Amino acid sequence: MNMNELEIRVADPWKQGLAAGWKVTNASTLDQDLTVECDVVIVGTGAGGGTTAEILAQAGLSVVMVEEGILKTSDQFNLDEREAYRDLYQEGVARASKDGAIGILQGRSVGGTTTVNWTSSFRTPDATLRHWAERFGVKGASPAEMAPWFAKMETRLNVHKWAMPPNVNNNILKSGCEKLGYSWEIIPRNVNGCWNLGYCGMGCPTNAKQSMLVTTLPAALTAGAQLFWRLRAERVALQGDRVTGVDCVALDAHGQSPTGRRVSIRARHTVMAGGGINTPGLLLRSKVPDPHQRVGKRTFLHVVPGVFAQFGEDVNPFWGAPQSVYSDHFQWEHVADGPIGFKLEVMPMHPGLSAALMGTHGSQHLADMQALPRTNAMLALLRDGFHDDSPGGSVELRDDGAPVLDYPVNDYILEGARRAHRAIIDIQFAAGAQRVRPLTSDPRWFASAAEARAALDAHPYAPHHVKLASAHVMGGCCMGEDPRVAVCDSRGRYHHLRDLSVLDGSLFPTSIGANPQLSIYGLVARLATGLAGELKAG
Amino acid sequence: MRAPPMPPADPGRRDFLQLSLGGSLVLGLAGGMATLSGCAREAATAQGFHVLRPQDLPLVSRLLGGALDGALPTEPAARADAVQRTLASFDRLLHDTSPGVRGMFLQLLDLLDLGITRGPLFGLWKSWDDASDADAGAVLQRLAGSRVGFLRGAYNGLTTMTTMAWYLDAANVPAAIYPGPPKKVIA
Repeated sequence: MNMNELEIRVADPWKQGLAAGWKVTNASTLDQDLTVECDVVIVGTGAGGGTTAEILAQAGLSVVMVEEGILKTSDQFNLDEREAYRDLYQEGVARASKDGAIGILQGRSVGGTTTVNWTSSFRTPDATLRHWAERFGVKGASPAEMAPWFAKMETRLNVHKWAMPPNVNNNILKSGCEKLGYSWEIIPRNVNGCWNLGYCGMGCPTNAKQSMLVTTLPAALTAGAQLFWRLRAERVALQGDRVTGVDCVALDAHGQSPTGRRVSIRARHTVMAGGGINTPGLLLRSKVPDPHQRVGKRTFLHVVPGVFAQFGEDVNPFWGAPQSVYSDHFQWEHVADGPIGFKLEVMPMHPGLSAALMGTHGSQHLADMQALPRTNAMLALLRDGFHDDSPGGSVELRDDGAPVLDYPVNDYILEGARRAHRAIIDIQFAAGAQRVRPLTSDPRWFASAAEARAALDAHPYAPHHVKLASAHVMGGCCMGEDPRVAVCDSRGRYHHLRDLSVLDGSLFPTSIGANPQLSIYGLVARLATGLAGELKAG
Repeated sequence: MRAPPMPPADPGRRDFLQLSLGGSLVLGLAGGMATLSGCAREAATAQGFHVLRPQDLPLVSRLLGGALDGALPTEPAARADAVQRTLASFDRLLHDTSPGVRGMFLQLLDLLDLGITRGPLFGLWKSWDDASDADAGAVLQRLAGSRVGFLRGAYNGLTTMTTMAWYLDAANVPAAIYPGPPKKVIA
């Protein structure tokens, strides 16, 4: 059936909650400055902030949440690409690394990236957790210690392997791997009653996706937490070696310019959960003590190269659960030594983002767009941060105080992109592709693997000559017990100040090697539960 | 526990940054000369636009013509109308990015527009007022084939913005490319 013939009619849980008295304030409409007192202020409402808010609010602590993005809920999710990119993504989907060589898809609304992610939910791989313990001295996060926390969050967010058949786009990965004898698996997803539409990236219109927007945030609000949106945390408030809260500025309705109204939030404890790039950015803006210059360093992306393939029949890559099949065949041959490992997945393709990814113009661009219904897009998530030649990027501040990630695309990453391109091409042809086009500055299509491989061998792998993107920002406030390397300790406490925690994906000392949302939920659930106990006792 | 990795020494950095720096120097020089010669850059936005300035309009219109050749109507009046609509769409896209992204993009448009950089870097030796869509297509083709990271990055930025400005407007996307989303009804 064609999705465009469907009609969606679902109740919006926020309507009922707001009517029942949830404390939610649109800061763009404030007509006076405010001072607010609470036990805990949480900056950010994504995977880290949402998980923290639910745990702390249900423990009986008074919680205030600060979100600079917009509040949009299912009634407003109209499946329009332009509106989604404008309202739900950082920098209107134009966020990129400093030199523009890597596009960065990152959420920016109530619910953070969980509002727009594609629902893939993996536990942190054991090899990653062991590497953190061995290499970074992370305590309390061994596979055995983490397992119950992943299980708890899987239950909370209804994570299960996708039970319906994969859509054609995903099935190409499955059948290609089967033909070549590569391993593949079905992806676990955090959905409940999913309609299999394919619009996860524009805000789930049916509330099936168990994002923070429909799970932990409503639970926290029901437990009495307060939410300010269109409110930007400008800097943390310091008193000696203590953090006493956050100073915020209200943003206008468009979400870019301050209105002049300020909100001072004073709290016993401050939690930063703005995610990679924004959490280190807030620390840098606050000029917190950072004797070893570690804030913002070791920021990772799962740098993603990709290949388009055209098939003889319809793929309709814009419809159906966006990600349901993956392959780790090339992931763990080496953990930290040797060439970079990668996870293989596919991506959904709607016309706006596809037009941008084509990387061509004029008549070729038109021809490539006309083939969109027959096009498959396969991706490799390069597992950065494990090898010494993969130090990631550094967050800096622009002149206006906004954070930007300087991520040098070095030869180690570029060689990984070349290997990934080759691997993907083989899978696509094995699955029956008519022709393929690796996403590089070479616009040609290739009708055989041999032809494509020869072209890749001759291609100059250099920044801007290989299309690279990322939807996973990790690290930048690396956890570990050695303050010469790590920003926070293994509990997420900032090494050089009291009463300040980081509880989001910026704690990761490396990338994950899998879509990171469940890694954030599990780690943060454990750390926030510990924090709740301490604050209740103290 | 092995020794934790220490911060790496700054590697030789990339060609891009040097070129980017070169680009900024050229831009600064060109801007200075333009000021001295009495033709200061117009910083105010064009009437009816959020971001684009008067001098950007002919330039971006021609780039849309070059980037979307084939997708745009061929009949002159319909084409002009489509370009005008897409110019507004392009402007809204820029408006919805961020001050940082906007600033860099406007710098790129300056490099494309200023005579002192337009010819040497982009191969266009006449003003955008006198240029055709085909001229813009030739500029894009030159950038597409460039080995220089900065110019190739410029190509990526220009094609991203121009093609998104077109394809994010549902009216421009034929059902044969994308039949559209399900219909949302407020319950």
